[in-house]
This record gives sequence, C-alpha cells and structure tokens, in this order.
Amino acid sequence: MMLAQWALSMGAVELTQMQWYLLVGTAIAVIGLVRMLLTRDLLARLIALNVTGIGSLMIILALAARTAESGDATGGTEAAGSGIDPVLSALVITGLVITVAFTGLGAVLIRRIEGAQDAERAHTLDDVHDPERSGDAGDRE
Amino acid sequence: MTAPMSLTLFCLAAVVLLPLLASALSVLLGTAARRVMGVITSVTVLGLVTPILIQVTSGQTLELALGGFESPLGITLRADGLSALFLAMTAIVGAVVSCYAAARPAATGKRLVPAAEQRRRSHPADAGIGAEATAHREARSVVHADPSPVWRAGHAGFWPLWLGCWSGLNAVFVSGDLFNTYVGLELVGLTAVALVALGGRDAWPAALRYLFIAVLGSLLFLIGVALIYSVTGTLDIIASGEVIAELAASHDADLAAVVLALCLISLGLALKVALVPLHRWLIPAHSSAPSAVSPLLSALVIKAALFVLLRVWLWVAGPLPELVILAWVLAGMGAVAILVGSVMALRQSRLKPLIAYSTVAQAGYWFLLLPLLLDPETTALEGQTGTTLEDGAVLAGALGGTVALALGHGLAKASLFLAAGHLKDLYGTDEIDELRGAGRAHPMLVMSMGLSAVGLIGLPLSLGFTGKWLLATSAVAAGHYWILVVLVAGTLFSAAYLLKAVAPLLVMSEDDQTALTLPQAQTHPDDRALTGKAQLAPFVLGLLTVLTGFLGAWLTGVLEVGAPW
Amino acid sequence: MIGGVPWADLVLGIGLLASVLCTVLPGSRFAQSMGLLGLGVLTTLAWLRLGSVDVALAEAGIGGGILAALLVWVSVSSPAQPAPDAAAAPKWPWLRPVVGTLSAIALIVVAAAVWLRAEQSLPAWDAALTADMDLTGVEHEITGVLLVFRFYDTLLESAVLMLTGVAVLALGQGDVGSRAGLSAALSPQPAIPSSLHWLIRVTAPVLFLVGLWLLFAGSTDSGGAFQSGAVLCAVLILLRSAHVPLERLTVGWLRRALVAGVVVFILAALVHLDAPFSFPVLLAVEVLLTLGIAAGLYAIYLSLENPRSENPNLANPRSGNPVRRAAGS
Repeated sequence: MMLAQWALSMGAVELTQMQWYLLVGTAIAVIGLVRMLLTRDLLARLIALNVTGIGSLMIILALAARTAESGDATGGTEAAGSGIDPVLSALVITGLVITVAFTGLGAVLIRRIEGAQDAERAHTLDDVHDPERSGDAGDRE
Repeated sequence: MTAPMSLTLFCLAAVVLLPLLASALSVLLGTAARRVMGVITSVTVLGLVTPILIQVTSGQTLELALGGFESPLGITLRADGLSALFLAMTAIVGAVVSCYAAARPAATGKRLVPAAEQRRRSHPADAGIGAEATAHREARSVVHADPSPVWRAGHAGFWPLWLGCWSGLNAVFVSGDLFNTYVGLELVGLTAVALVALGGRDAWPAALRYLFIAVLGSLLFLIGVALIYSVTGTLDIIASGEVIAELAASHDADLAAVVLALCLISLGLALKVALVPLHRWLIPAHSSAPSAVSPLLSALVIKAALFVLLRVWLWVAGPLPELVILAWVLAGMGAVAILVGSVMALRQSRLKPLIAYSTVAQAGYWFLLLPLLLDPETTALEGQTGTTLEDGAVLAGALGGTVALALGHGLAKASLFLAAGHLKDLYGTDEIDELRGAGRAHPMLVMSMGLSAVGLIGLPLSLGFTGKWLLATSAVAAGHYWILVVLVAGTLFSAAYLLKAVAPLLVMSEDDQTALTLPQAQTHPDDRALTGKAQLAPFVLGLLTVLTGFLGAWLTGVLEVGAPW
Repeated sequence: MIGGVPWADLVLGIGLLASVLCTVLPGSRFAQSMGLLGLGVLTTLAWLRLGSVDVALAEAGIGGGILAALLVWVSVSSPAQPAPDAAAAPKWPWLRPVVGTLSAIALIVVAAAVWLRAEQSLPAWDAALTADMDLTGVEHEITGVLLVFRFYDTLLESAVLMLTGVAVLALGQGDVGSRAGLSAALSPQPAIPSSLHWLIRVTAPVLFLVGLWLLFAGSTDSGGAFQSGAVLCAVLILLRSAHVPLERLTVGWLRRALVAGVVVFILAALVHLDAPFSFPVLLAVEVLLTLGIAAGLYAIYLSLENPRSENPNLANPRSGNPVRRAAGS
C-alpha cells in the first residue's frame, strides 16, 4: 500500500490492475530472496525459495494479463480466461511444475541431511540401542 | 517442412530425445544392463552428432520446426556453428566419461544397502522383477530386525541421471527458443544436483546448496525471458533478436525492458557459471561429487549456462549501446574471477578443490569478450581498412577465442578431474602432500594430468593457446589492451597452481623416502578397474586437449555459420 | 484510492504481502510451512483475479496442495532446527534481520521503479494463436499450447519430473531393482483415529473422480495432465495414510508408471517430428503422462521418510571389510 502510494506520488502513475500485481510480485520475490540469503535453517531456505518462485511467477502472469488489458480497450480487465495470453500461462504452469520438482528434491535432501546428523548425534551421545521405535522415527538408531 | 525429413534433421531431434529415452528405460534395468545401455547410448549420440557437425561445417544452418508449427507458435530446433561445436565437445567428453564410468562402476557414487540383503544375495544388483517374491520377504525382515544398512561404492542411479543430463545439455545447445532453453537448463540443473547427491552423505549439503543456486539462477533467467517475450511477442531466439534490432533502430525508449531483461538473465546465468563473487557453491559441489561426476559438472554443465549467455548476448540482444555498463561489470567480474580463483587455487592443499577453484578462474576468461562485442570498431592498428568487414572480424575473433577457451577447458578439465578422482579413489585421499611420487606408480594418470595442464595454462599447440591467441588479437585490433594484461596474468597464475598440483606427483629419484610414504594403495581384487583400462579415459581427453590446438582456423570458420554479424 | 486498481485486488495484494511476511518471519518451521500453505491459497485467488483459471488450478493442486503438504509434513516430522554451532553464532544477533529488512526495502523500491518505467514502454502485441487452434483437435488454448504447439517443452518438463522421482529414489536404500529407494513405502503408517479413517476412505474416490474429470476436461476447458496428476497423487497419499495396502502396487508399478509417460511421449514425438499429433495419440500421451506425474509426486512423498540410518562406523566404504566389499560389487 505504502509502496503503491510511493509509486503514485513519485511517478504520478495511474496504477492498473496489472501494474499492481507486478509490484506485489516484485515485493514477494525480493522478500523471499532476502530471507533465503539470510537464513541458515535449511527448510526456511527452501520455503523462502518457494516464495521467490511465487513472486516470479506472479510477475510473469501479470505480464500475461497485460495482453488482456491492451488487447481490448473496452475495459475488459476483469474478463476471466478470454484475454490472458495462453502462451505465458502455459509457461507459468511449466515453471510451477519445475519449481515443485526442485522443491521436492530439496525437501528429500534436507530430510536425509538432518537424518544423518541425528544419527551421528545419537551415536556420539549414547551407544545404547533404543529398544522401541515408533513408525516414522526410522532415522534413529 | 512438408518434404520428407532429411536424416540430419532427424539427428537434430534425436540427439535430445534418444538419451532421454535411454534414461527413462534404464530406470527399469539392472546394474550391468544400465552400463551397457549407457555405453551404447554414448556411441549412438556420437554417431548422431557427426552428421550435424558435417552439415553445419559445410555452411548450412539446420532448422526443424517441431510438429510442423513454425516459430511464433511452435518451437524451432536450430543448429548453427556455435551449437555444433558445443554438441561435439559434449559428445566427446560425455562418451569418454561414460566409458570410464562403465569400466569403473565404483566411481559413480555411493549407495546405501540393507545389510541383510547383502548377506543373502550374492548379486543384489542384478535382481530383476523376477526376484520379487523373495525380495518381498526380505523387505519384511528389513523392517523388523536387522543391523544398520551400510554404504557401498557405486550407484547405478548415475546412468538415468547422467543420460537425462546429457539430453538436457543437447536440448540447450540445439534450442532455438528462449523458454525451451529455460526448460533445458532446468533439466541440466536438476540432474546435476542429483548427480552431486550420489556422492553420499558428505555430498548432500553441497548438493542442496547447488540446488538453491540453480533454482535462483533459473528464476532470474525466467523473468528475463518473460520480459523479452512481452517486448517482442515471440520466444524464438532469432525472431526476438530481429524485433529488438528494429526497436533499437527506431526508438530507443523501448529498450529499458530489454536492458532489464539482459541484467536479470546475465545475473542468473552468472550464478550458474559460478562467476566470482557468485562462485562459492561450486567448490563443495564439484569437489565432493563422485569421481565420474566431477568431470561432467566442470566440463559440461557450466558450459550450458555459458552457451546460453553467448546466445542471448550475441543473438538476442545484439550490440545495444545501452548494455555497455553491464558488459563492463561482467567483464570486470571475469577479470576478478581469474585473480581470485587462481589465488584460492594456490592456497588449496587438496587436489579436487584446487581443480574446482581452477574452474572458477577459467570461467573468468569467458566473460572478457563482452565489452568487445559492444565496441568492435578497430580503433587501433588497422583503423584505415573497411570498418564493416573489420567489425565482423573482431567479433568473430573474440567469439572464436572464447569458444576455443571454453571447449579446451571442457576437454582439459574433464581429463584433470577424471585423473584426480581416480587418484583419490586409488589412495583414499586427494591431499597433494600424501600423493607425492604417485607418478611413478601411475605414469599414465600423471601424464594425462600434465597434458591437461598444458591445455589449461594455454601453452602453444593446445586449444587453450588458440583461444587466448584469437582473443588477444581481436582485443588488440579493437584497442582493448587490458585484455592482454588479464590474459598474461591468468596464464602465469594458472601455470603456478597447476605446477603446484602436478609437480609433487612427479618427484624423482632423490626423494625416495617421500615416494615410500605414499598411502597404501587401496586396490582390492574387485577393483581391477582402478589399475586397468579406465586410466585410458583421462589420457585420451588429455591428448585431445593438445591435439585439437591446430583447429583454430577451422573453428572460427564453423562459428561463421549462422553468426549474427 | 489508487488509480485503476479494483479494491478486491488491493485487499488481495496486501493479504499476499502479509502472508509472505507470515511465511518468512517466524522462527518455527511449522509456522513457516503453514504460512506457505496460506500463501498458496491467496496466490490461487490472485491467479483467478488475473483471469487464468488453469494456472489457478495448477497452483491449487501442485503448488498449494501437494507441495505445501509435503513441506508441512517435513516440518512436523523434523521440527527442531539443527543446533547452531557456537562458533557460528553471530556477534550481533540483530544485525542480520536489520540488514535484511533494509536491503529488502531498498531492492523493492529500486525494482519497482525499474519495473514501472520498463512496463510503460512495453509495446503491445497480438497473440496470433487463434488462427491455428483448429489444427490441434483440442479447443482449450492453454492445453493447445502445452500439448500441441509447444509439446516439446512439456516433454522436457515431464522428464524433469520423472528424473526428480529417479533422483529421490536414488537417495534411498539400494540403487536398482523394483524396490530400490522404496524402503519407506513398506514401513507401517502411524495410527489415525477411525473417524478420520472413514472420512478418507469416502473422500478418496470423490477426489479420484475429480482427477479424472480434470484430465479429460483439459481438452475443452481448464485442466490437464499436471493438475490431474496432482489430484491423483493426493488420492494415493490419502489412501496410504488410511492404511489401504498399497505396497504391492507401489513396488510393482511406481517405476513403470514413472517412466511410461515419458517413454511413450518420446516415441510419439520421434514419429511426429514434422507433423502434429493425431488426437488419439495425444490422448494416450496425456493419460500416461498424468500417471507419470502422479507417480513422480508420490515418489517424492514416499522418499521424505528416511531409510533406517546407516551405521556411522561403516559410513566410509573404504573402511569396510574387503571381503564383504568384494561380495558387494
């Protein structure tokens, strides 16, 4: 909101719906990026990476919606589905799937890394075998 | 495309699709079958690349509109000189490394095996679907009570992942479409991360870090591509280049978006090439990867990002004067990379991290040409000759030099990493001090390291020398003398750190005691591969590094095919 | 208040930013992943506002649904952050957040200014898609782009998902054979309340039908292989947590389903290099691809459970007994 007011006052820009989402997408991407670079927790990094991904895809889809705005000047910005550029939409779906694939691999890697760390810690702390094992605690000995 | 498709055009698509098919099918196979399939596939890819290279060398750019849809809607595969050269280098390095990995499965990583399975079956790897009933019983016992699983050398998951990676590399090289390039880069990035992770527990953190960088770089690239699309209305590389050239000719105000796109794309790709100061992920990833994977990463995977960078700067953006600042920033980072990478390489005590830092240093060379692209006038010596012709000559020389450096680096670094990984597997360490005198026991390995060092330093006759020569001459012609300084400094530095890496392995007679302190060679009855023919692989690549040096003129000729000037 | 932005978009945008902050600011992993789940829901709304039903469906299914569920799962099963090393503890703990906030604000301001300037100068262009749509045999434009005009991108993309499945399976126990990497699939599931149990058994068939509908609706309306695959994967996950015995199915068919779609797609592409797919081929490819996507996502879910940890004493294969190593390879 403040950002939009700032943009309004600085550039005297009449914001359109598309520009608004462009700004929101940029803000989301930047916040995710900064968080990703600053945090040390692996899962927090992965989540921040996803936030960055959402922001980038929002930027692209806002660009896609621009066709709808410029295409018909009759004020059809709210028209669903008809005006949006199908090529860019398809690209966003592709980008979404690829982000999911990478996040999945990252999540599995995090689980393995932390499982190995837990096992190591358990071994150094006590060499006694834990007699009972619950269902998902298979990563501990 | 109504006429029946020529064989060469089929090769253009098959060079991407066949490795991918082999990758998918190999998921269902056993270990031995995967190795056979890997070798067969690499020979096939070599066979598919050959007609493409021949056709392109004869001066013809290959184009295939997939599905019969021409470029604004569909995707066009395109192979020009640049594509053909990178395809060929990838095919050679890929085939040699595949043969190495097939001959020495232990070099492909580490796998975790249930201890129970180990005892019961003598050949757990070859158990197919037929053994399902017994396997089911075993699994139940695995769940209930058995000792912890153990790590074993060798991971057959290497084959589907590497073949998929190869397919992605080829997809990037023949792509005529920006978004398709993005998908290809993602295929390469994902498989590269997974290949690093095959190195076992110690490699997982490095793989995860690599994953973060790869995704971040791709997202930046993707935003840039979307911007270019929203300016030009097309994703085709040539067509968008034409539109941008028109924009540049008519009204300059529209170019802000293009400049922004180029910034985002260059930043994303610089992350993937590991340009200083974005290089820190590369060292753990490349040095903790398995022996058969490090050469692929260093020689091929980062070249995919470099290829896209050259494509975008030369074919899409063209010489826009607005990009001057960006070009100088990137070239400056390249020069710093040569310095920082070399100094850090000199400070390493282990072989694989040293070679990884040398990759960081060498990557710097590939960015030096960018200011030349924007300022190709021959301001210096040959100022009086016709300018248009000379423009092309400077560009051709700069691009030819950079490509020669990149290709030479691919061959030499693959050989160096293979030899270093081999030594590490042989002795269980890659501390340079502990490997003193290893050259006596393994002359072929150390000789191949020497040959690749010649290529990386850029001594005469090697491809590296050709590249530096071409780059230097065009820099002089354009009056950019600073490039000469950087090249000379880089050469001296690389000589220093490579000497540091290779010389201790060669210590001669008077140091007999040091030779005796070599760690016990950990060869085992099953590891005959360690002393056998597998050593030929780095040697072949090392020889190629030196032998390809005379190809300089041919190389610039091939690059003229489909060149943007 | 602001220009031509409808108020609904203003509210949604502010909500998005707030939920982003809720996602990145908390220290606990659970709060972060729940924040991402909420962000996914709001993002879906934003896609709808921008007029893209397909992207909204994909986001809801794959991004918001499966992905956030996976991350919530991870955060629940390993909630503790690894203890930070004493040496690595920062001298000024407030420095990072402050630097982060300041640089984020600066970056946003700069990026927003550049974007607005750049956007104003963007020329308009016409999407020349409709002319060729009658060639494709499908009526929905986005499906046409994904499976007909740019099928090659979709092919490589499904290969990315397939190789992700291969990669996560490679991170498990064993490397080849029908059950490599699937040890977690065979371990017992934690007990759940019986009411939930029955709820799941009732919901799953409904979801299954929704998945099928999404698949076949894709040719005429919003939907398609990716959305449908995500829903089918959700069905599998639900069934597994309701103790439906899926082990035999998983061991026998997961790998085949994972690769079948890509293999058939490649073969079809090699045959149709310079001519469009015929509709039956297209349908077969899309059905198999859906199965492959579901299998890939399910493989990721299964691999989130760690295999039983290795014995650290034997972690280095070099230190193992040579005789046993010989038997191993």
